[in-house]
Amino acid sequence: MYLRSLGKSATEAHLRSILATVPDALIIIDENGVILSFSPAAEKMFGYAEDEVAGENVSMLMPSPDRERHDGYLSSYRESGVRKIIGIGRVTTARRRDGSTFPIELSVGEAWVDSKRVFTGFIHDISGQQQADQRFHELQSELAHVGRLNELGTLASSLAHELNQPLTAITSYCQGAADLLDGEPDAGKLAMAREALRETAGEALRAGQIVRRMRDFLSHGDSERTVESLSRIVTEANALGLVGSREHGIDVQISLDPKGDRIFVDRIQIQQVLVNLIRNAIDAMMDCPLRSLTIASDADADTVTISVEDTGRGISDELAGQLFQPFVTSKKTGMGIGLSICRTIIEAHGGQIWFEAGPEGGTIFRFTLPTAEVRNV
Amino acid sequence: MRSAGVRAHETGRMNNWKQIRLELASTPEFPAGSVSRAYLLRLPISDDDHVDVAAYRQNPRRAVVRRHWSSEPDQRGQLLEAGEEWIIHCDGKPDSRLELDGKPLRLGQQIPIKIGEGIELPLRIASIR
Repeated sequence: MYLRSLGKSATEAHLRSILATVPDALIIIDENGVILSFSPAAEKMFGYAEDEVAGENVSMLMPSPDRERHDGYLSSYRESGVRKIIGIGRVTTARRRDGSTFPIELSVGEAWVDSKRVFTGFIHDISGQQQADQRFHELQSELAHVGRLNELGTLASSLAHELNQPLTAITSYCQGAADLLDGEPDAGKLAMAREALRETAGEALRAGQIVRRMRDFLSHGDSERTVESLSRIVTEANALGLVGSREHGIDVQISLDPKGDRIFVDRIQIQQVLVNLIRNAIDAMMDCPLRSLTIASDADADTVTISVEDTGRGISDELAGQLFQPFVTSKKTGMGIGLSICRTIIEAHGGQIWFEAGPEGGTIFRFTLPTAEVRNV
Repeated sequence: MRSAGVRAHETGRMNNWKQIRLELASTPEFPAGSVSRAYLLRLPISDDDHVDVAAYRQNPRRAVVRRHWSSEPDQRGQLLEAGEEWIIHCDGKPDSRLELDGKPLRLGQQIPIKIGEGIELPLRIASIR
């Protein structure tokens, strides 16, 4: 009502003054993706002046794979009218003029101006360390991670407690059996030793059941598998993994094989694996001059292999042999169950996970997943 | 003649590695140039603003190149010294050649790139950090 009472030029001036003070970047594009307007906050966030980017394709602000796919997203929307992001928003990654990438929350709206369709994008930078912890937890919560992680923490504690009981019993039975078999045992002692060994086997089975319960929880508990886009999963996980990494200047490169984009997975679980591997990679590069993270995929007929490669300090021989075992870690903080959970999730999806030394001393983690086409056969 | 870009002080220092952003300069198709078409080079630079070849040779794998070109997929490769030329090598793509010959690496400096038979584009140094 207030704006309507103003003349056209006054309205425009008023809106511009509002936009100048909004901390989030605002970018307006036409229906072909050409930048029409670039707010002062956008100039500051991305490092370009409005007159430099006006007329350019907005995809220039995105890293691969969104960069080369954005035109397709727009034409698909123009043809189908199906909203995949408009009015919904998403967490993704953007790229500054200096080449660095950073996580953002993107909200997109649609409007008609003089019979022409335009899209407005509000971009909130979530890379800052200050808000990182809080935001990271909020985002994780949105992805139902926190509940899962809290349950895992509880589960890990009870697992340790429950495993301790059969292990203590096994120790006692074995020691008892060894004592009974000392010297020349009579028939009675032999029978007791036999019984102790049977009990040992029973306790070992019980320990196995406890471990299986944890696997069942992870693989079937609330697993919801659907056909998903690997590029979307990777883009969102990369954004989550980069939260709080602004000061570290991580150079991220994503290169995905379009042939393996459709996968049948629990999106939350696979993102959990990727976020885990990405944050491990960032931690491993903290003391290194070159901090380069490459996420790539390579598909064959029925499998896609995803790799997360860092240029960090590598993995010591001491840890290498037991890296996927629970409670094994080189970090000062952390329980050391991250990679163990990753392996459980990937194996539950019918894949494998392993690692190898990178060509320049870093580490490459690779895991496989079946493509969705396999399931459709 | 040895390339002046390579003639640089050969200090071999490891702390003078910089990231140089080269953007497309004026062409008939883009008279004002284009900020969405760029190469990012990581190279060591000597005090007189040329490539520090000794530092490069100590760790050539650090000389990474990235190509961000409009709506095309990102490319990443290595910058290789080849005689008097510098070659941009990205797996699965034809090599490109950067003409660093005699040109100081300073803001605004134009540097041509040969991207194929007879195709040469002017690039301009937009930032060094």
